[in-house]
Order: sequence, then C-alpha cells, then structure tokens
Amino acid sequence: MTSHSMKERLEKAYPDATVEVEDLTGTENHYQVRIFAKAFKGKPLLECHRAVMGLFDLELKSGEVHALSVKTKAKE
Amino acid sequence: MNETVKKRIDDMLEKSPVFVFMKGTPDFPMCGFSARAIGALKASNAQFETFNVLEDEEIREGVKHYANFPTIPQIYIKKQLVGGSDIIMELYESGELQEMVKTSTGQ
Repeated sequence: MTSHSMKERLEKAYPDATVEVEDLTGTENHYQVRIFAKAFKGKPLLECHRAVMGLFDLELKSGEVHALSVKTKAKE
Repeated sequence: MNETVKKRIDDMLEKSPVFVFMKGTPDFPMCGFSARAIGALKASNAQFETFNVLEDEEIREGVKHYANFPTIPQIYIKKQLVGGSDIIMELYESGELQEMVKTSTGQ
C-alpha cells in the first residue's frame, strides 16, 4: 500500500485532520502515521488508535501493511 | 472468536496484573515494537508476564479479536487492554505508565 493511498484514506475519514504518513523502511509495508483531528478530542488514546488502525484492518490482516505505528492528537 | 481461545486468554491474564502478548520473549524480542514495549515496562520497574504469539497461531489471531485491537504487542493491566507499543511509549514518556504499574500491583 502506498503512503499516498494511506494518507487519502485517513483524510477521507478525518476531513479536518492534519495527516503525515511516513514509510519507515521504504518498502511500503512499515508505516508511521501522525494524525491531528478534532474527532480525537476527549477520547481515550486506545479508542483513537483503534479507530485509526481500523481503517487499515484489511491490509493489516493480509499483511500488506506489516507494521503500523500511530500517533493521534486532538486538534482544538 | 471461539470460547476455548477466549478462555485461554482469560486464564493467561489472571497470571499477572501486567501481561504482554508479544513477538519473541523479553530477552529475545522478535520485533522492534515488542522490544520497545518491554523496554518501557522494564524502565517502569514493572513485574510482568509475557506470551510469545509466534509460538501459537491460535492466540496470535485470537488476541486481535479479544480486545478488538489489530496489532501485536498488546499490553494488559488488570485484564484490560492498555494499548500497543505506541500507547505504552506515550504513557511512559508522560510518567503515567509508572503510576499505572504501581497502582496495579498495590506497591
């Protein structure tokens, strides 16, 4: 999965968000996502991570995305 | 998920207030994320038990459904999922992990 298509999916799910996707290994399967969105405000961290990772459920299950590191932060 | 697997996970979580499903073992982690989580727990003086999911496909898949979380490692405190390595690192850096560990063991 390309970092571009990951970014697109995140931006579709969180239209107001600032999104950064970093390909950690240059192999398009180990990613780090940083996302700042209003939707995270007042939500427990676990819930935010579940929601973001859930967007890539199929790719994580199939192994197309092998590793996904997530950082979520609430946008004021 | 099937009841046998759920029961096995329930039983494991009874073993220790802090429990980690990981790839490899604390001495020989087989994945960078598992290694980071263990490092943060050790630095927080946590006593913990671990299970190596690479040795058991049923648990490796089961644990993802158990707490509706798609990646390994998974760190549980008092049978509740706290998170994966990113959350653990964040809690460690803010000092919350140390407090959670202390509270969980009644130290």
